[in-house]
Amino acid sequence: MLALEGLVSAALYLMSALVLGSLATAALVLPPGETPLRQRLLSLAAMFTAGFLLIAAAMLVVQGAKLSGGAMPSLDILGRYLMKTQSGNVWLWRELYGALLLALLVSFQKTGLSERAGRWMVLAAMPLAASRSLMSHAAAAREYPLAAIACDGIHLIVAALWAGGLPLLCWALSRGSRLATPPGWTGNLVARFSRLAFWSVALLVATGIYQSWIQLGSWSALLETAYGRILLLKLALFLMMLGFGALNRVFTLPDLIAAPHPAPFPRDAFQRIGAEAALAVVVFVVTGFLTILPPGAHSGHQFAAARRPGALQPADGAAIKILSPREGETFRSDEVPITFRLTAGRRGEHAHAYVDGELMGMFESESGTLTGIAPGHHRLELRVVAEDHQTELDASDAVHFVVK
Amino acid sequence: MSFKSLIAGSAIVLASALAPALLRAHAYPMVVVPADGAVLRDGPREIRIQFTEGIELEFSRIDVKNAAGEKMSVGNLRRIADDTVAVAVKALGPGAYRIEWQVLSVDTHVTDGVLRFTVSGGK
Repeated sequence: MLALEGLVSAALYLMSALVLGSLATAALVLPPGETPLRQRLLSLAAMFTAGFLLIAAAMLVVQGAKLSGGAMPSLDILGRYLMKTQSGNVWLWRELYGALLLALLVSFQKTGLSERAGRWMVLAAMPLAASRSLMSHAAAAREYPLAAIACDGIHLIVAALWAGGLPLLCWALSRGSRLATPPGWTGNLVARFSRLAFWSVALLVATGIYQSWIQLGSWSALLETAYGRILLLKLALFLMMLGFGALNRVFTLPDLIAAPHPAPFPRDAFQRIGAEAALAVVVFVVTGFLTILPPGAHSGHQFAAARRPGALQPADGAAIKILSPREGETFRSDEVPITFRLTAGRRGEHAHAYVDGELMGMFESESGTLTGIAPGHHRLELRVVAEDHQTELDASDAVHFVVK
Repeated sequence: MSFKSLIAGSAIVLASALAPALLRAHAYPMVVVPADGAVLRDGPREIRIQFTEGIELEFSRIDVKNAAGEKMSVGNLRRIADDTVAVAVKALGPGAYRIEWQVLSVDTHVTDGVLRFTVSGGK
């Protein structure tokens, strides 16, 4: 099931990237006036959008199978998933949006796509590529989930523009070499793509670093978790792609610009750009598997639930101070808001909250609410805990409070 | 390096990196009350689990069972926070209990697992 889910996930990534990549190539990369190629790219975009919708449907069946213990899901399961869960709602709305986009693309096939309309279609396809963020690890980020989702969405869009555009650039170069294109056409095409790729890669790196930081949680997770190892593989492939990209920018582009016209498209230049495009496809497959693995930041929880505290470990500079409740404070509901100031020291990372010696909550930010507290006198103790969620440090603070 | 060897190499690395993951479940209870393995003087009124991610109530469940396999939890799963759920339990006498949980997280992963605790009844 894991392998199937990974493959379907990868196919979905690839298809959404090709939708945006083909539209971006048609509207932003092709030099003005290339109507036949632009119309053909529009047809490809429509085909990729239809493919996206079909693969998303397959993804729904896989999700249903996960909810049915591996069996073929019933309509009831699929209906409940779509109507009553956040990720199901996202799937439903995305499918509707994709169908609308497909209808627009089909209508433009009949009427023709102006350059201005093409740019609007690029914008319209961006939410399709970014929507995956709403049901990704970013959506489950514990801190600043909106920032994580926005960052992931931008990451997906720029990845689609660059990596999704590369196979279409190859296609356009191949097609263009057979058409009566004006002098400098090939160089102009590659130069326009190169500009788009440059800014896409810059954003890709920035958002990728942020995503890796929040999903990995620690340097050790890079080697010790499956998520970290796949991320390293993706990074290695990305660097190879970047190498080919730099090679193409420094050598291939000037060669193409200087090439006499008309002349057959240089085979070695086509191979270099093709190599970058093929690597992009491999990166999408690897990313598909990344999405189904638990983020490295969660690896500490994988084998054991929270435990009773054992012997406290040396504080190593960690400290904690409860700011509220104040000593003796009274509350009139079973919800007790708490705020505190945590000094992490060398090993501290978050806090465990004990009420009358019983573990009642974990706080990664310096405020939160304890719920379900019974009426009576209670003792609240906060302890600083290491990143592994199990090592409690000799750094604690306690207050007494009353629930009436 | 040819592309065939590049893709084959990537597939091998992908497979070897994934191999341990295939053996693991996505099990992320972060805070469990009562804690896994706890020995309690009195039975708890409810079981509460805080997970590492937000939970979809629709496909999530927590069942508390006694040593005979009889279900001791009652009512529906209650959401306390996005990532925290609780279920009420009947009055529990001395004995060993299992907490069987399965959840659907907001990033579409289904995870499950078993936790245990014991009520000593003051003995």
